[in-house]
Amino acid sequence: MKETFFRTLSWLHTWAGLLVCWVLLLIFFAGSLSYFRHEISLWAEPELHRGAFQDYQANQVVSQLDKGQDYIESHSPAEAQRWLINFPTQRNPMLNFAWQLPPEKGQRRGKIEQHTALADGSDMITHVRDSRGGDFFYRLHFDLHYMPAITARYIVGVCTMFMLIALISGIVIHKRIFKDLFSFRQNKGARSWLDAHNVSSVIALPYHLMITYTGLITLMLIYIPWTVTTAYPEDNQAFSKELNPARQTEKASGISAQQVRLSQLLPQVQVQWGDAPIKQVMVSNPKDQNSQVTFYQNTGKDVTDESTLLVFSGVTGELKYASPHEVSGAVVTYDTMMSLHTARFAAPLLRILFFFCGLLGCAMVATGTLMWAIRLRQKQQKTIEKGEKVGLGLRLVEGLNFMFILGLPLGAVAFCYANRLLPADFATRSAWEVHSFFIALCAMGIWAFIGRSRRHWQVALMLIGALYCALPILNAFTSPSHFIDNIQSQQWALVGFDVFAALFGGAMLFASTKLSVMVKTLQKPNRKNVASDKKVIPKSLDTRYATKLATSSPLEEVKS
Amino acid sequence: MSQIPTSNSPISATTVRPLSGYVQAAIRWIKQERTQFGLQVFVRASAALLAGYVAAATLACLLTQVLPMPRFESTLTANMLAFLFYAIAIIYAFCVRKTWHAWRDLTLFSLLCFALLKVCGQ
Amino acid sequence: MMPAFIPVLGILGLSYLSLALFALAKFGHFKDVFKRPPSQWQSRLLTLFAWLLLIISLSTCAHGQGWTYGSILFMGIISLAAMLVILTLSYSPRHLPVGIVTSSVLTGTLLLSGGIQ
Repeated sequence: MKETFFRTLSWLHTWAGLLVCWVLLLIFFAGSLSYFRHEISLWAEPELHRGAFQDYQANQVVSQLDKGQDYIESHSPAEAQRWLINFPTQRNPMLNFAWQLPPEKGQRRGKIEQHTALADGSDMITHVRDSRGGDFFYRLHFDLHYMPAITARYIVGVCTMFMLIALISGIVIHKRIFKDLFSFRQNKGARSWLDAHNVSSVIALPYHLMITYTGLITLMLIYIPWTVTTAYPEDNQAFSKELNPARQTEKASGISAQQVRLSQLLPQVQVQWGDAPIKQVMVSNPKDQNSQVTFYQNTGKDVTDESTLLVFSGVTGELKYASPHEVSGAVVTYDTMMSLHTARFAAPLLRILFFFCGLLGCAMVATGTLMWAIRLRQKQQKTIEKGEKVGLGLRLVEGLNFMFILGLPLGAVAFCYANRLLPADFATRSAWEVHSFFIALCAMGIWAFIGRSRRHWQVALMLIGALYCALPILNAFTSPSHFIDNIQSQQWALVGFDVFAALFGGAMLFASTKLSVMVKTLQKPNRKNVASDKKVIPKSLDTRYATKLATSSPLEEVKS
Repeated sequence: MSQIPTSNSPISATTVRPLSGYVQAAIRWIKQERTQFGLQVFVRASAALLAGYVAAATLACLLTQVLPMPRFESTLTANMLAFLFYAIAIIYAFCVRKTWHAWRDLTLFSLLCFALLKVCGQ
Repeated sequence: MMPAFIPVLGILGLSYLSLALFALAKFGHFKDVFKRPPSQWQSRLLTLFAWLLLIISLSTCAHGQGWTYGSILFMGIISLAAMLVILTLSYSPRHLPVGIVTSSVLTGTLLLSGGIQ
């Protein structure tokens, strides 16, 4: 009985992981990049890289508010739905004045027009290239692309649940992983992949469990809406009203009214918050009887995802709502889980560690699928050696591995190149940046058709690595401030972008040279039989490990 | 996990007695250990994914009614726990001794929760 | 103001130390490093010290950064430290003592200079 149980669970681990592995890889990859959503967005708008950086200055808030209100009033059209004043924060070190236009037909949200103040206050930057920047990866993480968001969210949800199952069953069947935690045997064929899979799963196991479960929590009302319909049979909206009390804005009345001066509200804000920094001031339905002014606090390192805010009437200036409303245990738990997933609270160092753990997640999925391909090939070894064709399943798995493991990094780098090289006034440029991501992904798919031997992996890795390493150079030529400038002006987000790109590219080049050494040593003993198929030669040597593999594959291991 | 029988004997049988040949082949296929394992896993997996979802959702709905908290908090708590229930249901579906018990137990559990929910709701 | 990465570096050193001792407590890794098997009491002592150091590094992290933020940060740091130990062990196990000494010196200096608060 016990054996059947373990066999079933290990079967489940294999299939739960493998059925959704490529989508999971995409989700993990996009999610890891989303930790640097604002940093990527900043990088994607080089027009802002000179002269606009400034820190939050508490003594400037009054004048900045006045200036912002005047600027928006004189520049925005009368039909603007919202006014926004964004104060400098650590991650977005600029002062922005923006307004949102009413949504066009078929769109849910209106376009936001954003102007950025120069740090010396002399002028405004009004023309910034149209780019989705980090928001693209953020949306890709749960809305995917080229499909309705709701469909995508169901797909992502199912994949996440599979991931949770794979994690739990993995922990149960591979109890030995904790004992062998520190073992990584290199250059041992499939054994090494298994070790890499174990290592990447176990050392970030708390992170993997946390990110999977909280991922489900972020969209839980879509996946299990029945609780709300049971508890609120009469009115489903009542629940979301309680969940986000401040998000309920009143509709415009159509009666125009005198807008209150924003700076006059500041004393009231200071009574509530003291000297806490302000992140954003939002005016909804400006110059209307139902106008509202919302102040958002910059909550810094607090592990919370709920905005701390104050809502005032936009006409009388009277305080209408102050958060946090009375906080219960359930709300705190929910809020903590949400913030753990989005990591908005994380300071740069923790953010980097989260990113590192996310990459380990990518590695976990990737090594899992690579191991699958190796095992499939092992099974078909005899028929392949006889000269028969490689099975369709194996070709598909190897091809998709090639496409996704190499295509995702290539897509991201293609996105960056498109951002800088497409003409700035090109009408649909932000859409084409996104297309270039998927074009690169598909290009790797086509490459996989042509060949996916180690040789091809090596060349592709070299190419992608070189592209990443060249990103700082690209930045230096297409942005007003290069790497050294950024260090001097202490713009660590931009410096970090360059450093990460170079490190990532360097790692890929390193992997490529490692592979080329492997290809050479593997080909040596086989030089004599030139007649046999070249594609097979690198892999055929794995037979040495065939016996080892039989005992090391996840399915067999549990039996011992 | 569909495994097509590899032996050639049923084919010759089908030429003589088509129907019973197929039946025999089917029986042989079902009796294969691989098929048995595959069917078992399929039944358990479907129970886990479908019945498990229903069980987790009904239990969560029940919790919204019985948890001693305000309505809003109990809904939030129940919904957050639902995924844990789902995971437990899935593990249960694979742990239970007999395969069909996975479907039976999870369905019975959902029905029980549903009945309790109806009782508590009034 | 002290750069934010200094205390994190100290905790990283502590975690590395702790995980390296955990690894040394294992038969195979001890043999890889010292070319001889550990005795049973050596193994036990190593595990004990590893746990102690792990608890110390967690409490230092929590003390410096607050319990919520600190424990989350600790999870990230420990993953990085484990990665470093694994890399040392698999690419040059003989240098693990060097890593241990380096991380002890680093942590010790930071502790004495009040870098970890």
